[in-house]
Amino acid sequence: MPEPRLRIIGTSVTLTEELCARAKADLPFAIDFDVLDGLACLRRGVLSPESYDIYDQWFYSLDMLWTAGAIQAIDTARIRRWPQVRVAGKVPGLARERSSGNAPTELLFVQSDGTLGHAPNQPEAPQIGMLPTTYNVDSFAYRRELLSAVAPGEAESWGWLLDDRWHGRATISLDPAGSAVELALAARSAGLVDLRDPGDLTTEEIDALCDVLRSLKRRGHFARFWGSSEDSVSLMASSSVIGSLWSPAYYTLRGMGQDLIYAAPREGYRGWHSGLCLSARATAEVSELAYAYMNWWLEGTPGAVMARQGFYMAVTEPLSETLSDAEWLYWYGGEPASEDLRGASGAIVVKQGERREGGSYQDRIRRVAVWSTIMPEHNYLARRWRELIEL
Amino acid sequence: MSETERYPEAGSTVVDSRNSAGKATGQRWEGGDGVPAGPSYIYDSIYQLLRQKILDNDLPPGALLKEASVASHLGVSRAPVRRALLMLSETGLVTSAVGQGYLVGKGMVRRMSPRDLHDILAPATDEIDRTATWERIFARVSLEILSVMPFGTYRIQEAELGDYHQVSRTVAREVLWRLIDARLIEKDRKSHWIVGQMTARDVRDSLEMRQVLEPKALAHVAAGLDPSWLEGLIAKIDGAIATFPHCGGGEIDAIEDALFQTMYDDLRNARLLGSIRRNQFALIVPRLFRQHFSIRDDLSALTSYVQLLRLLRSGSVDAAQVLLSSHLRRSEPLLLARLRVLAILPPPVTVPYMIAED
Repeated sequence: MPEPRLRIIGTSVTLTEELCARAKADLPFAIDFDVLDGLACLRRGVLSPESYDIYDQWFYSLDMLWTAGAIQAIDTARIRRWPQVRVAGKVPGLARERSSGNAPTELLFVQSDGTLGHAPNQPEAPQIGMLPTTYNVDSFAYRRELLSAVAPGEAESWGWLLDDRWHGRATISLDPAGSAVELALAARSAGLVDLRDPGDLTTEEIDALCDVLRSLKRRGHFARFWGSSEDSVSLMASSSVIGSLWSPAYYTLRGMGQDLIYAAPREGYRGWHSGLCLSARATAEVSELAYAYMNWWLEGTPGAVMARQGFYMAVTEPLSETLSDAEWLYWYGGEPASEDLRGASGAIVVKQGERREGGSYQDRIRRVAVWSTIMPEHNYLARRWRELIEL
Repeated sequence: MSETERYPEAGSTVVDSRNSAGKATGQRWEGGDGVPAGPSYIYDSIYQLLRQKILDNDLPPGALLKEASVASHLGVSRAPVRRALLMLSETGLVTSAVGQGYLVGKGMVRRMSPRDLHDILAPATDEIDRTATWERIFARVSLEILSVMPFGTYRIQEAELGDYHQVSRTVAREVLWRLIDARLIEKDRKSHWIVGQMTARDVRDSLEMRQVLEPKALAHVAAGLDPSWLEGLIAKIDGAIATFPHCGGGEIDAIEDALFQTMYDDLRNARLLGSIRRNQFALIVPRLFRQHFSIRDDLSALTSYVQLLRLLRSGSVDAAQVLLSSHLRRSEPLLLARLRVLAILPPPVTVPYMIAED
């Protein structure tokens, strides 16, 4: 019998080189990481559960994976730190927050009828669809020189992404699950469309938004749309002066010496949450490895790797072992850095005295305007979005 | 085209077409290779009829067959007769008598009075399948259209539709107007025939309508349901539940066909039936879903179905109505989730007459 191997699919957002190397070093079994782009990962997650054991991606893919029968329930009794897990800072299954988009706690627990729901169906050791791991709040970054064109007292706004002042030099993500809500916030702020809820657009609102974006794209407003975090780094390092950006890309650019400001937009952030799912096809033998890997994720090592690219973790207790006080206070506490801090690559990404935009993690999470989402009209949005991209 | 071909059963055709549109979803959507699967074409019926009459010597060698008179005696239009005669001439059973029509065999003309010809042909008219050409292909075209609705917006090319299904452009257009009536397609501002993408709102709105309409229809048909049909369907669902999920998606498709299509077939209120059919398009979503994914979530629906049928069997129509209504209401989240999952699939390979709209 060959030794069982654990097969993991995910994206470069969480499956960073360092994380993969640490997992292989820390865990006593062979692991194959397959790092894919977001849509390819989701498609494979839904269509080919036999090709992986662990799926590592956004919470909003949970609904689709579960509906397609591609994943199986995770038994929290086998997750050592389950009692410490907080979803975006909150105890899962308690107070329900009113926010736009797929709040990550909305579909976490397996219900007695086999569907997913907000609250556990049993208080002890509930079954869950996805193990919450890392999360963050995102916005956009811009070059410091832009401040010269900003009016005194003008607050940072998503509307800036569509602003003529930076015509031809704006960039956004190709992925509609993130971009559509950002652009909905932007277009609403700029007074270009009238939208009720950016996380649940109606077909008419999608049409109106896409019309605005088509017109902007035709006029050459966007430099280009970026397809990956690496792509966004090269764009922001060259032709673009403003663009939606994920935090690893922002800190990579900072490490390269780029003078960029990460915005805390007045409308609020776009939040996202990541997690791990267990393939429906994982055997009992492979599940042992999968649970070991999931438990490892909630220990301090991955949390520190994630923190150094700006992400938060669902379990924070063990981070006292793996992050220095200075790191904890900057990344989580929102305090001024007491020393220069190194990012994931080892480069200095934060200089002494700098402070994270938006404050502490509780402050930033409170300001989530909308969660990355698969909205009810996602099918319609995806098609209209593709037409926009192919324009 | 004659009036009989255009409107074969004037008055009831609209409802019939919706019936067949609904039933079409009972077929697997992989169908559609362009070969007519339903009843034969009218020209083919005429060809078979004349061929048999010739072989049986009812139409003796030398008999002169003219397009107009054959059409008149059979009560059909001239076009299919022309085609049937041409086919017969290709087999050598008749030969062209230039300007006069066709001669049976190759001998001399043998005079035959119109009365004789009438006596030979008229009794045979029942053997001709008179289903209008548009009806023959309507169910298949409906299914082809339903099968792309979750994936995007498509434009239908009228001429290519005709070519693909081997019908004239006139018939293709007839089918398209019927599809507009069934609300499966629309005409856009440029007068293109458009298959609009199924949206979450379409699904929600249609389920709301079905909750209003179908319990009402159930009350109308309940008394007339054949007890043995009910028993058979109950046994079928019990069997599916007992073997679930090994019963397979096709079995659930068949059960839903019986429950939501056959169930209402005898509804006398044609307007009500028409409205029901128009709002059942989203039944294609679970059907497409089950071809690709796990049927795990269908078990609770099967349980509801069998309860509903048992209530009908025991005459508890009120309770059956309530159960149907609540089933339709509760089916919405799963239906919408499945619609979202379908978005992950690569767009299906469409039939050649449909092109994706940008």
